[in-house]
Amino acid sequence: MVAGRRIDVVYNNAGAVRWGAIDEARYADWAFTLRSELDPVFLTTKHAWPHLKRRGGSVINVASTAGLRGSVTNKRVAHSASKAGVIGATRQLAAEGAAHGIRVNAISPGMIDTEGGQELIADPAHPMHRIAASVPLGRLGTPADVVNVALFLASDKAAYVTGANIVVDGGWSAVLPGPAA
Amino acid sequence: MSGHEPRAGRLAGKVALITGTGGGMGRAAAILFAREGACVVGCDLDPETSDETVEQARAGGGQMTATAPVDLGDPDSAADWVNQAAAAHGGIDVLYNNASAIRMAPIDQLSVADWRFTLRNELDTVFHVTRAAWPHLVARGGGSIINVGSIAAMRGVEFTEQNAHSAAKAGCTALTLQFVAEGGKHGIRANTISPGLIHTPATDPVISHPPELFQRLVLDRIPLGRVGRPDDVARVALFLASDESEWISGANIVVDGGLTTLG
Repeated sequence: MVAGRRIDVVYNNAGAVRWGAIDEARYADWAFTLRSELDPVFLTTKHAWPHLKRRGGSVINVASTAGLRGSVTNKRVAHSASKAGVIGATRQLAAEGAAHGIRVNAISPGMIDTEGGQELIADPAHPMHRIAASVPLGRLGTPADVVNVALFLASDKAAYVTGANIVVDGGWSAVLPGPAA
Repeated sequence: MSGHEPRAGRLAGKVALITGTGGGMGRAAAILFAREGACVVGCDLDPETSDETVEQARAGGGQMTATAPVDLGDPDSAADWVNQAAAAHGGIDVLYNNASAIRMAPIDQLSVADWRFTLRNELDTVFHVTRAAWPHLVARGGGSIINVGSIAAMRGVEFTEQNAHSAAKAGCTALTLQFVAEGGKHGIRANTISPGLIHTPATDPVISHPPELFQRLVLDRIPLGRVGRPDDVARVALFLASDESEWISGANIVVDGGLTTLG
Protein backbone atom coordinates (compact mmCIF):
# COMPACT_ATOMS: atom_id res chain seq x y z
CA MET A 1 0.00 0.00 0.00
CA VAL A 2 1.47 3.36 -0.99
CA ALA A 3 0.40 6.08 1.41
CA GLY A 4 -1.05 9.18 -0.20
CA ARG A 5 -1.56 7.66 -3.65
CA ARG A 6 -4.74 6.34 -5.16
CA ILE A 7 -5.55 2.87 -6.44
CA ASP A 8 -7.48 2.54 -9.71
CA VAL A 9 -7.76 -1.21 -10.23
CA VAL A 10 -7.80 -4.18 -7.86
CA TYR A 11 -7.59 -7.61 -9.46
CA ASN A 12 -8.41 -10.23 -6.82
CA ASN A 13 -6.87 -13.14 -8.67
CA ALA A 14 -4.90 -15.11 -6.07
CA GLY A 15 -6.20 -18.37 -4.72
CA ALA A 16 -5.25 -21.84 -3.57
CA VAL A 17 -7.52 -24.81 -3.25
CA ARG A 18 -7.71 -28.27 -1.73
CA TRP A 19 -9.95 -30.78 -3.41
CA GLY A 20 -11.97 -33.45 -1.70
CA ALA A 21 -15.33 -35.16 -1.92
CA ILE A 22 -17.80 -34.24 0.82
CA ASP A 23 -17.33 -37.47 2.73
CA GLU A 24 -13.54 -37.40 2.47
CA ALA A 25 -12.57 -33.74 2.79
CA ARG A 26 -11.35 -32.65 6.19
CA TYR A 27 -12.62 -29.49 7.79
CA ALA A 28 -9.06 -28.13 7.60
CA ASP A 29 -9.20 -28.49 3.80
CA TRP A 30 -12.55 -26.64 3.67
CA ALA A 31 -11.22 -23.85 5.87
CA PHE A 32 -7.98 -23.61 3.88
CA THR A 33 -9.88 -23.20 0.62
CA LEU A 34 -12.27 -20.56 1.94
CA ARG A 35 -9.40 -18.69 3.59
CA SER A 36 -7.33 -18.79 0.40
CA GLU A 37 -10.05 -18.01 -2.14
CA LEU A 38 -12.76 -15.99 -0.37
CA ASP A 39 -11.10 -14.18 2.53
CA PRO A 40 -8.63 -12.38 0.25
CA VAL A 41 -11.48 -10.81 -1.69
CA PHE A 42 -12.71 -9.25 1.57
CA LEU A 43 -9.33 -8.34 3.00
CA THR A 44 -7.71 -6.89 -0.12
CA THR A 45 -10.80 -4.97 -1.18
CA LYS A 46 -11.39 -3.65 2.34
CA HIS A 47 -7.91 -2.23 2.61
CA ALA A 48 -7.89 -0.88 -0.93
CA TRP A 49 -11.27 0.79 -0.49
CA PRO A 50 -10.13 4.13 0.94
CA HIS A 51 -7.65 4.43 -1.92
CA LEU A 52 -10.21 3.43 -4.55
CA LYS A 53 -12.55 6.10 -3.24
CA ARG A 54 -10.12 8.86 -4.12
CA ARG A 55 -11.04 8.83 -7.79
CA GLY A 56 -13.25 5.76 -8.27
CA GLY A 57 -11.95 2.55 -9.70
CA SER A 58 -12.54 -1.01 -10.82
CA VAL A 59 -12.40 -4.12 -8.64
CA ILE A 60 -12.27 -7.40 -10.51
CA ASN A 61 -12.84 -10.63 -8.58
CA VAL A 62 -11.93 -13.98 -10.05
CA ALA A 63 -14.78 -16.38 -9.38
CA SER A 64 -15.34 -19.59 -11.38
CA THR A 65 -17.92 -21.63 -13.18
CA ALA A 66 -17.46 -23.86 -10.10
CA GLY A 67 -19.47 -21.19 -8.31
CA LEU A 68 -22.36 -21.74 -10.72
CA ARG A 69 -22.39 -25.48 -11.36
CA GLY A 70 -21.64 -28.80 -9.70
CA SER A 71 -19.30 -31.40 -11.13
CA VAL A 72 -19.54 -35.16 -10.97
CA THR A 73 -15.84 -35.55 -11.77
CA ASN A 74 -14.21 -32.71 -9.86
CA LYS A 75 -14.53 -33.06 -6.05
CA ARG A 76 -14.75 -29.43 -5.14
CA VAL A 77 -17.41 -28.57 -2.60
CA ALA A 78 -15.16 -26.04 -0.81
CA HIS A 79 -14.08 -24.47 -4.11
CA SER A 80 -17.68 -24.18 -5.31
CA ALA A 81 -18.69 -22.57 -2.04
CA SER A 82 -15.84 -20.08 -2.04
CA LYS A 83 -16.37 -19.09 -5.66
CA ALA A 84 -20.11 -18.67 -5.21
CA GLY A 85 -19.18 -16.52 -2.25
CA VAL A 86 -16.99 -14.40 -4.49
CA ILE A 87 -19.94 -13.89 -6.87
CA GLY A 88 -22.23 -12.93 -4.01
CA ALA A 89 -19.67 -10.58 -2.48
CA THR A 90 -19.19 -8.96 -5.87
CA ARG A 91 -22.84 -7.88 -6.03
CA GLN A 92 -22.78 -6.40 -2.55
CA LEU A 93 -19.50 -4.61 -3.17
CA ALA A 94 -20.98 -3.20 -6.38
CA ALA A 95 -23.89 -1.82 -4.40
CA GLU A 96 -21.62 -0.27 -1.75
CA GLY A 97 -19.06 1.07 -4.20
CA ALA A 98 -21.23 2.69 -6.81
CA ALA A 99 -21.76 5.97 -5.00
CA HIS A 100 -17.97 6.32 -4.88
CA GLY A 101 -17.49 5.52 -8.55
CA ILE A 102 -16.10 2.09 -7.67
CA ARG A 103 -17.24 -0.64 -10.05
CA VAL A 104 -16.99 -4.27 -8.88
CA ASN A 105 -17.34 -7.23 -11.24
CA ALA A 106 -16.54 -10.93 -11.32
CA ILE A 107 -15.00 -13.11 -13.99
CA SER A 108 -15.93 -16.78 -13.92
CA PRO A 109 -13.39 -18.80 -15.87
CA GLY A 110 -14.10 -22.36 -16.90
CA MET A 111 -11.31 -24.84 -17.50
CA ILE A 112 -8.15 -22.84 -18.08
CA ASP A 113 -4.87 -24.42 -19.11
CA THR A 114 -2.52 -22.98 -16.47
CA GLU A 115 0.51 -24.47 -14.77
CA GLY A 116 -1.63 -25.32 -11.78
CA GLY A 117 -4.10 -27.06 -14.03
CA GLN A 118 -1.31 -29.00 -15.70
CA GLU A 119 -0.55 -30.78 -12.45
CA LEU A 120 -4.15 -31.88 -12.21
CA ILE A 121 -4.42 -33.21 -15.73
CA ALA A 122 -0.96 -34.75 -16.13
CA ASP A 123 -2.57 -38.15 -15.81
CA PRO A 124 -3.81 -39.00 -19.31
CA ALA A 125 -6.72 -40.89 -17.81
CA HIS A 126 -7.90 -37.79 -15.94
CA PRO A 127 -11.44 -36.78 -16.87
CA MET A 128 -10.26 -33.24 -17.80
CA HIS A 129 -9.10 -34.57 -21.14
CA ARG A 130 -12.62 -35.63 -21.97
CA ILE A 131 -13.91 -32.32 -20.75
CA ALA A 132 -11.95 -30.36 -23.36
CA ALA A 133 -13.78 -32.39 -25.96
CA SER A 134 -17.10 -31.42 -24.42
CA VAL A 135 -16.41 -27.68 -24.36
CA PRO A 136 -18.54 -26.21 -27.16
CA LEU A 137 -15.60 -24.25 -28.53
CA GLY A 138 -13.52 -27.44 -28.43
CA ARG A 139 -10.56 -26.39 -26.26
CA LEU A 140 -9.51 -25.37 -22.78
CA GLY A 141 -9.06 -21.68 -22.10
CA THR A 142 -5.76 -19.84 -21.90
CA PRO A 143 -4.70 -17.22 -19.39
CA ALA A 144 -5.00 -14.63 -22.17
CA ASP A 145 -8.68 -15.51 -22.58
CA VAL A 146 -9.24 -14.43 -18.99
CA VAL A 147 -6.85 -11.50 -18.95
CA ASN A 148 -8.59 -9.94 -21.95
CA VAL A 149 -11.81 -9.80 -19.94
CA ALA A 150 -10.06 -8.37 -16.91
CA LEU A 151 -8.53 -5.70 -19.12
CA PHE A 152 -11.95 -4.87 -20.50
CA LEU A 153 -13.48 -4.65 -17.01
CA ALA A 154 -10.63 -2.49 -15.77
CA SER A 155 -11.07 -0.06 -18.64
CA ASP A 156 -13.56 2.71 -19.32
CA LYS A 157 -15.08 0.49 -21.98
CA ALA A 158 -16.94 -1.14 -19.10
CA ALA A 159 -17.98 2.15 -17.52
CA TYR A 160 -21.60 1.06 -17.09
CA VAL A 161 -20.83 -2.53 -16.05
CA THR A 162 -20.96 -3.21 -12.31
CA GLY A 163 -22.13 -6.21 -10.30
CA ALA A 164 -21.74 -8.36 -13.40
CA ASN A 165 -20.32 -11.87 -13.63
CA ILE A 166 -18.70 -12.57 -16.99
CA VAL A 167 -18.38 -16.27 -17.69
CA VAL A 168 -15.30 -17.18 -19.78
CA ASP A 169 -15.62 -20.88 -20.43
CA GLY A 170 -15.94 -21.59 -24.14
CA GLY A 171 -19.65 -22.24 -23.64
CA TRP A 172 -19.24 -25.04 -21.12
CA SER A 173 -21.70 -23.88 -18.47
CA ALA A 174 -24.25 -22.80 -21.08
CA VAL A 175 -24.93 -26.38 -22.14
CA LEU A 176 -25.54 -29.79 -20.60
CA PRO A 177 -22.56 -32.14 -20.96
CA GLY A 178 -22.42 -33.68 -24.42
CA PRO A 179 -21.66 -37.21 -25.53
CA ALA A 180 -17.89 -36.71 -25.14
CA ALA A 181 -18.14 -35.83 -21.45
CA MET B 1 -13.08 -2.99 -51.40
CA SER B 2 -10.19 -2.85 -53.91
CA GLY B 3 -7.79 0.01 -53.49
CA HIS B 4 -8.39 0.28 -49.74
CA GLU B 5 -5.53 -0.17 -47.31
CA PRO B 6 -5.94 -2.95 -44.76
CA ARG B 7 -8.03 -1.52 -41.96
CA ALA B 8 -6.72 -1.10 -38.46
CA GLY B 9 -8.92 -1.63 -35.45
CA ARG B 10 -10.29 -4.27 -33.15
CA LEU B 11 -12.67 -5.54 -35.84
CA ALA B 12 -10.29 -5.19 -38.78
CA GLY B 13 -11.22 -7.48 -41.64
CA LYS B 14 -14.56 -8.54 -40.15
CA VAL B 15 -17.94 -8.39 -41.86
CA ALA B 16 -20.46 -7.39 -39.19
CA LEU B 17 -24.23 -7.55 -39.68
CA ILE B 18 -26.21 -5.38 -37.29
CA THR B 19 -30.01 -5.27 -37.22
CA GLY B 20 -31.89 -2.14 -36.28
CA THR B 21 -29.16 0.35 -37.13
CA GLY B 22 -31.52 3.32 -37.31
CA GLY B 23 -32.14 3.33 -33.59
CA GLY B 24 -30.11 4.27 -30.52
CA MET B 25 -28.11 1.16 -29.66
CA GLY B 26 -27.92 -0.07 -33.24
CA ARG B 27 -26.62 3.26 -34.47
CA ALA B 28 -23.99 3.46 -31.74
CA ALA B 29 -22.81 -0.06 -32.56
CA ALA B 30 -22.69 0.58 -36.30
CA ILE B 31 -20.59 3.70 -35.87
CA LEU B 32 -18.27 2.09 -33.34
CA PHE B 33 -17.81 -1.15 -35.28
CA ALA B 34 -17.09 0.81 -38.48
CA ARG B 35 -14.55 2.97 -36.65
CA GLU B 36 -12.84 -0.23 -35.47
CA GLY B 37 -12.38 -1.44 -39.03
CA ALA B 38 -15.38 -3.67 -39.59
CA CYS B 39 -17.30 -3.78 -42.82
CA VAL B 40 -20.74 -3.02 -41.38
CA VAL B 41 -24.03 -4.04 -42.99
CA GLY B 42 -27.12 -2.60 -41.31
CA CYS B 43 -30.85 -2.57 -41.73
CA ASP B 44 -33.91 -0.93 -40.24
CA LEU B 45 -37.60 -0.31 -40.84
CA ASP B 46 -37.01 3.45 -41.15
CA PRO B 47 -35.03 4.57 -44.22
CA GLU B 48 -34.38 8.06 -42.89
CA THR B 49 -32.70 7.04 -39.63
CA SER B 50 -30.96 4.17 -41.38
CA ASP B 51 -29.40 6.55 -43.91
CA GLU B 52 -28.33 8.94 -41.15
CA THR B 53 -26.44 6.13 -39.44
CA VAL B 54 -24.65 5.21 -42.67
CA GLU B 55 -23.62 8.86 -43.14
CA GLN B 56 -22.28 9.07 -39.60
CA ALA B 57 -20.37 5.79 -39.88
CA ARG B 58 -18.77 6.88 -43.14
CA ALA B 59 -18.03 10.35 -41.82
CA GLY B 60 -15.82 8.64 -39.26
CA GLY B 61 -13.89 6.94 -42.06
CA GLY B 62 -15.72 3.68 -41.65
CA GLN B 63 -17.20 1.25 -44.11
CA MET B 64 -20.97 0.74 -43.96
CA THR B 65 -23.97 -0.06 -46.12
CA ALA B 66 -27.56 -0.50 -45.01
CA THR B 67 -30.93 -1.48 -46.40
CA ALA B 68 -34.25 0.01 -45.29
CA PRO B 69 -37.03 -0.77 -44.92
CA VAL B 70 -36.38 -4.41 -44.08
CA ASP B 71 -39.03 -6.31 -42.11
CA LEU B 72 -36.99 -8.89 -40.23
CA GLY B 73 -40.18 -10.43 -38.87
CA ASP B 74 -40.79 -11.75 -42.38
CA PRO B 75 -38.51 -14.76 -42.88
CA ASP B 76 -37.94 -14.14 -46.59
CA SER B 77 -37.06 -10.49 -46.09
CA ALA B 78 -34.67 -11.44 -43.30
CA ALA B 79 -33.02 -14.12 -45.44
CA ASP B 80 -32.70 -11.77 -48.41
CA TRP B 81 -30.96 -9.14 -46.32
CA VAL B 82 -28.55 -11.68 -44.84
CA ASN B 83 -27.78 -13.44 -48.12
CA GLN B 84 -27.21 -10.17 -49.98
CA ALA B 85 -24.77 -9.05 -47.29
CA ALA B 86 -22.87 -12.34 -47.46
CA ALA B 87 -22.73 -12.22 -51.25
CA ALA B 88 -21.54 -8.61 -51.35
CA HIS B 89 -18.76 -9.09 -48.81
CA GLY B 90 -17.77 -12.74 -49.17
CA GLY B 91 -19.09 -13.98 -45.84
CA ILE B 92 -20.19 -13.04 -42.34
CA ASP B 93 -18.09 -12.85 -39.17
CA VAL B 94 -20.33 -11.07 -36.67
CA LEU B 95 -24.11 -11.04 -36.27
CA TYR B 96 -25.53 -8.52 -33.79
CA ASN B 97 -29.26 -9.22 -33.31
CA ASN B 98 -30.11 -5.78 -31.99
CA ALA B 99 -33.41 -4.87 -33.69
CA SER B 100 -36.49 -4.53 -31.53
CA ALA B 101 -40.00 -3.13 -31.54
CA ILE B 102 -42.44 -3.57 -28.66
CA ARG B 103 -45.92 -2.76 -27.47
CA MET B 104 -46.79 -2.45 -23.82
CA ALA B 105 -49.97 -2.66 -21.76
CA PRO B 106 -50.97 -4.22 -18.43
CA ILE B 107 -51.44 -7.97 -18.68
CA ASP B 108 -55.22 -7.80 -18.61
CA GLN B 109 -55.34 -5.13 -21.30
CA LEU B 110 -52.65 -6.20 -23.75
CA SER B 111 -54.27 -7.24 -27.03
CA VAL B 112 -53.36 -10.53 -28.64
CA ALA B 113 -52.14 -8.53 -31.63
CA ASP B 114 -49.79 -6.49 -29.45
CA TRP B 115 -48.45 -9.65 -27.71
CA ARG B 116 -47.74 -11.20 -31.08
CA PHE B 117 -46.24 -7.97 -32.43
CA THR B 118 -43.69 -7.89 -29.60
CA LEU B 119 -42.77 -11.58 -29.88
CA ARG B 120 -42.52 -11.23 -33.67
CA ASN B 121 -40.27 -8.18 -33.60
CA GLU B 122 -37.99 -9.18 -30.73
CA LEU B 123 -37.83 -13.00 -30.86
CA ASP B 124 -38.97 -14.26 -34.26
CA THR B 125 -36.54 -11.82 -35.87
CA VAL B 126 -33.61 -13.43 -34.05
CA PHE B 127 -34.69 -16.83 -35.33
CA HIS B 128 -35.19 -15.69 -38.94
CA VAL B 129 -31.95 -13.75 -39.17
CA THR B 130 -29.76 -16.29 -37.37
CA ARG B 131 -31.21 -19.17 -39.36
CA ALA B 132 -30.25 -17.39 -42.57
CA ALA B 133 -26.82 -16.37 -41.32
CA TRP B 134 -25.89 -19.79 -39.93
CA PRO B 135 -24.61 -21.42 -43.15
CA HIS B 136 -22.48 -18.34 -43.83
CA LEU B 137 -20.97 -18.47 -40.34
CA VAL B 138 -20.31 -22.19 -40.76
CA ALA B 139 -18.66 -21.61 -44.14
CA ARG B 140 -16.49 -18.93 -42.57
CA GLY B 141 -15.21 -21.38 -39.97
CA GLY B 142 -17.06 -19.67 -37.17
CA GLY B 143 -18.13 -16.30 -35.92
CA SER B 144 -19.65 -14.28 -33.12
CA ILE B 145 -23.39 -13.96 -32.53
CA ILE B 146 -24.53 -11.29 -30.10
CA ASN B 147 -28.12 -11.36 -28.87
CA VAL B 148 -29.78 -8.67 -26.82
CA GLY B 149 -31.48 -9.78 -23.65
CA SER B 150 -32.64 -7.31 -21.04
CA ILE B 151 -32.92 -6.84 -17.31
CA ALA B 152 -36.61 -7.29 -18.09
CA ALA B 153 -35.80 -10.98 -18.58
CA MET B 154 -34.33 -11.14 -15.05
CA ARG B 155 -36.74 -9.09 -12.96
CA GLY B 156 -40.36 -8.03 -13.03
CA VAL B 157 -41.22 -4.38 -12.45
CA GLU B 158 -44.59 -3.63 -10.92
CA PHE B 159 -45.29 -0.41 -12.73
CA THR B 160 -43.63 -1.10 -16.09
CA GLU B 161 -45.86 -3.00 -18.51
CA GLN B 162 -43.12 -5.17 -19.92
CA ASN B 163 -44.89 -8.56 -19.96
CA ALA B 164 -44.50 -9.41 -23.66
CA HIS B 165 -41.09 -7.73 -23.77
CA SER B 166 -39.87 -9.80 -20.80
CA ALA B 167 -41.02 -13.00 -22.47
CA ALA B 168 -39.35 -12.13 -25.76
CA LYS B 169 -36.08 -11.11 -24.13
CA ALA B 170 -36.00 -14.24 -21.98
CA GLY B 171 -36.49 -16.14 -25.20
CA CYS B 172 -33.54 -14.36 -26.81
CA THR B 173 -31.38 -15.17 -23.77
CA ALA B 174 -32.27 -18.85 -23.89
CA LEU B 175 -31.75 -18.99 -27.65
CA THR B 176 -28.20 -17.82 -27.08
CA LEU B 177 -27.45 -20.91 -25.00
CA GLN B 178 -28.76 -23.19 -27.68
CA PHE B 179 -26.71 -21.39 -30.35
CA VAL B 180 -23.70 -22.12 -28.11
CA ALA B 181 -24.49 -25.82 -28.11
CA GLU B 182 -25.28 -26.13 -31.81
CA GLY B 183 -22.57 -23.73 -32.96
CA GLY B 184 -19.54 -24.81 -30.99
CA LYS B 185 -18.36 -27.48 -33.37
CA HIS B 186 -18.50 -24.91 -36.18
CA GLY B 187 -16.48 -22.34 -34.23
CA ILE B 188 -19.61 -20.25 -33.74
CA ARG B 189 -19.90 -18.56 -30.37
CA ALA B 190 -22.94 -16.75 -29.04
CA ASN B 191 -23.41 -14.36 -26.15
CA THR B 192 -26.08 -12.10 -24.68
CA ILE B 193 -25.89 -8.50 -23.59
CA SER B 194 -28.58 -7.59 -21.08
CA PRO B 195 -28.99 -3.84 -21.02
CA GLY B 196 -30.64 -2.01 -18.17
CA LEU B 197 -32.25 1.33 -18.70
CA ILE B 198 -30.64 2.91 -21.74
CA HIS B 199 -31.49 6.38 -23.06
CA THR B 200 -32.49 5.90 -26.69
CA PRO B 201 -35.09 7.55 -28.91
CA ALA B 202 -37.46 4.76 -27.87
CA THR B 203 -37.02 5.33 -24.13
CA ASP B 204 -36.66 9.09 -24.32
CA PRO B 205 -40.31 9.81 -23.39
CA VAL B 206 -40.15 7.93 -20.09
CA ILE B 207 -36.64 9.14 -19.23
CA SER B 208 -37.27 12.77 -20.10
CA HIS B 209 -40.64 12.85 -18.36
CA PRO B 210 -40.49 10.12 -15.76
CA PRO B 211 -43.59 9.18 -13.83
CA GLU B 212 -43.07 9.69 -10.10
CA LEU B 213 -42.87 5.99 -9.22
CA PHE B 214 -40.44 5.31 -12.04
CA GLN B 215 -38.22 8.19 -10.93
CA ARG B 216 -38.23 7.14 -7.28
CA LEU B 217 -38.02 3.35 -7.64
CA VAL B 218 -35.86 2.96 -10.73
CA LEU B 219 -34.00 6.09 -11.80
CA ASP B 220 -33.01 7.16 -8.29
CA ARG B 221 -31.82 3.66 -7.41
CA ILE B 222 -29.34 2.99 -10.20
CA PRO B 223 -26.10 2.47 -8.27
CA LEU B 224 -23.89 4.23 -10.81
CA GLY B 225 -26.21 7.23 -10.70
CA ARG B 226 -27.26 7.61 -14.32
CA VAL B 227 -29.17 5.87 -17.07
CA GLY B 228 -27.16 4.07 -19.70
CA ARG B 229 -26.09 5.53 -23.01
CA PRO B 230 -26.17 3.62 -26.29
CA ASP B 231 -22.38 3.67 -26.30
CA ASP B 232 -22.29 1.82 -22.95
CA VAL B 233 -23.89 -1.13 -24.71
CA ALA B 234 -22.07 -0.69 -28.02
CA ARG B 235 -18.67 -0.95 -26.32
CA VAL B 236 -19.62 -4.28 -24.76
CA ALA B 237 -20.91 -5.47 -28.13
CA LEU B 238 -17.56 -4.47 -29.64
CA PHE B 239 -15.74 -6.57 -27.06
CA LEU B 240 -17.97 -9.57 -27.81
CA ALA B 241 -17.55 -9.09 -31.55
CA SER B 242 -13.77 -8.93 -31.35
CA ASP B 243 -11.23 -11.73 -31.08
CA GLU B 244 -10.49 -10.56 -27.52
CA SER B 245 -13.52 -12.60 -26.47
CA GLU B 246 -12.87 -15.59 -28.69
CA TRP B 247 -13.34 -18.13 -25.88
CA ILE B 248 -16.43 -16.49 -24.40
CA SER B 249 -19.59 -18.32 -25.38
CA GLY B 250 -22.88 -18.48 -23.51
CA ALA B 251 -22.11 -15.45 -21.38
CA ASN B 252 -24.75 -12.94 -20.41
CA ILE B 253 -23.17 -9.56 -19.74
CA VAL B 254 -25.47 -7.28 -17.79
CA VAL B 255 -24.92 -3.60 -18.57
CA ASP B 256 -27.20 -1.80 -16.13
CA GLY B 257 -25.12 0.38 -13.85
CA GLY B 258 -25.64 -2.18 -11.08
CA LEU B 259 -29.43 -1.95 -10.95
CA THR B 260 -30.14 -5.69 -10.85
CA THR B 261 -27.69 -6.33 -8.03
CA LEU B 262 -30.22 -4.71 -5.71
CA GLY B 263 -33.03 -6.48 -3.95
